[in-house]
Amino acid sequence: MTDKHPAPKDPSEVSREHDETERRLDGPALIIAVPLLLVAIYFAFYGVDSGRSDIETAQMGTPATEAGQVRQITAVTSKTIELPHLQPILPPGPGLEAVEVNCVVCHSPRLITDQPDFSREQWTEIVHKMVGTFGAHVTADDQDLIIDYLTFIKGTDTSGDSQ
Amino acid sequence: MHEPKQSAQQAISRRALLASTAGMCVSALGARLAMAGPPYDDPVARFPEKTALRLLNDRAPQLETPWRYFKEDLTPNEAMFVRWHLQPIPTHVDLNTWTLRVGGHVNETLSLSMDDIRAMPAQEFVAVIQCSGNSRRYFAPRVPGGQWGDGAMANVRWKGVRLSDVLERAGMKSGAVQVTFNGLDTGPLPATPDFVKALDVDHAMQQEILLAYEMNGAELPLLNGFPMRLIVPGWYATYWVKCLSEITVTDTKFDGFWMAKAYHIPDNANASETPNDLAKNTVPINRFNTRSFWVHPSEKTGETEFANGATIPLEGVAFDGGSGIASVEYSLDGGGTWQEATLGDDMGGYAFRRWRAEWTPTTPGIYQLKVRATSNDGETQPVDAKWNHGGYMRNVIETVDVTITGQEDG
Repeated sequence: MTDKHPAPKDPSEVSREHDETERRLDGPALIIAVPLLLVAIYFAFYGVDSGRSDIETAQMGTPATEAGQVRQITAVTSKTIELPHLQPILPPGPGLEAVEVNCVVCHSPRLITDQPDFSREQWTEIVHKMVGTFGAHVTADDQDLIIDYLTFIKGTDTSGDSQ
Repeated sequence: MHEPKQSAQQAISRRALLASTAGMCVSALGARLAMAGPPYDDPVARFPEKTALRLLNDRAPQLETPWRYFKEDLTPNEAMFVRWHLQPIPTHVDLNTWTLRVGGHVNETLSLSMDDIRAMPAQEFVAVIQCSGNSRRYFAPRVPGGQWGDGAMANVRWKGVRLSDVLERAGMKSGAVQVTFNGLDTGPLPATPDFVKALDVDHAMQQEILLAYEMNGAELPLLNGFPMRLIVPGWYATYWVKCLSEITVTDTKFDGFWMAKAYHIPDNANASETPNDLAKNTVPINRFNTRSFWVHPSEKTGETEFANGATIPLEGVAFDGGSGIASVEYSLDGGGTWQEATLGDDMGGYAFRRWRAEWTPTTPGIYQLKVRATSNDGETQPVDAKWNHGGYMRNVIETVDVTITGQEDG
């Protein structure tokens, strides 16, 4: 095998080849690209809603000298992060209010919107798990409304009748 | 004239990836102009100490590593996947107040500071961390849970102290049965079961179980478990408890929800069942099965179209539950015939083993490429995907469809 396949490529080379294909741009597209580029650079450097982190370090012991260079030994002493707010807006549907009141207290609506479509039976099981296992306080009426909603927006039943 | 144009376009393709949700319209448009980015990576979001990752959930965070990072031997810390179960998650850890408490069925209860732990002998090795539900989105029929692609895994150099050293320091009493691990995360409601995992004492005392305070030479990102997480090489990441704060030796089998009910697999050789015939007996998920992946070509990076006559580098990674990879074979004809790939450096039995080959197609067309690995234990990968209702342990032979176009354009 090694004879037939000499000099396996460095993975970074593969990545560079890919970059090359990305760089092709038409002339007119550049007119749109330049303002976009400025915006993109702004977001890349300053971030958008990406949360914040505050990391404190302290010097540990005396700086060690290695090969004539002073190497500062530091260690992180604390970390504080601020999580970004990236919740999606739930689509309208019957029972939406019950979902907003009961579900999104503990988890993002994205936990719902990122799921595939399921049958009413499966959604019922999931809602019962949230109540029975994870301790969500949801009245029986609201549980039914939530199941209606989930079946409406993420149901496998294609008849259009969510009830 | 060409120079500034080049760098401008380069900036778009790279920077656009870094922009997050509000910048996503920018990324999307930039993508159309310059990136041809696959939908697999969308949407992306930036979280503290992390680069732009695929957003599965924002609260509690679940973030997946974009596939291109697997071209690197070690997965960068900022690109490693993130998976939390219960909000609120820890957002502040101060090592002046953080301690690791070791108690329960021990002679001496310990309260160790990070200085105490760093003063103990350190161990370092590379091991794959992989979510139990890695690749869940490919289950058919689909199953509930985090809809991971294949990027809920990472190859990381971990550094820390042996769990056995800490347990010996506390001194386990005779009759110890299990060791439980609790992190700083709690849960939104009083009735929500705290995320606590357990290992049998014999397993916990094995030399490779680590309390890691560094990954790839740096402190862990807080979202990946700063200041310390449990490392259970060869076992699914559900056991690798983050922001570890409490170790308890028990004299009975721990029966908390996250061991007794959650993360269970069918108790059979393939951990498989069918939707109409769910397994009656289940056990807690444990050791990885054998997997191998395509890193290039890959539909996940959009690299699937090549010119006839050009030499295409074939490359990927393979790993198993710790015996190491014995061989990797690839097929260029949909599994009809198989050839052996060249294995890359051996970074240890728990690490990714990179594999490579080259292919120079001589006829245009669509080719179905497949890859399968065999572990030193003799385990290989199934032709047909196994199914279980938790969406765990997918390890089917991976396929990538490659298009070879008519002629090589110089």
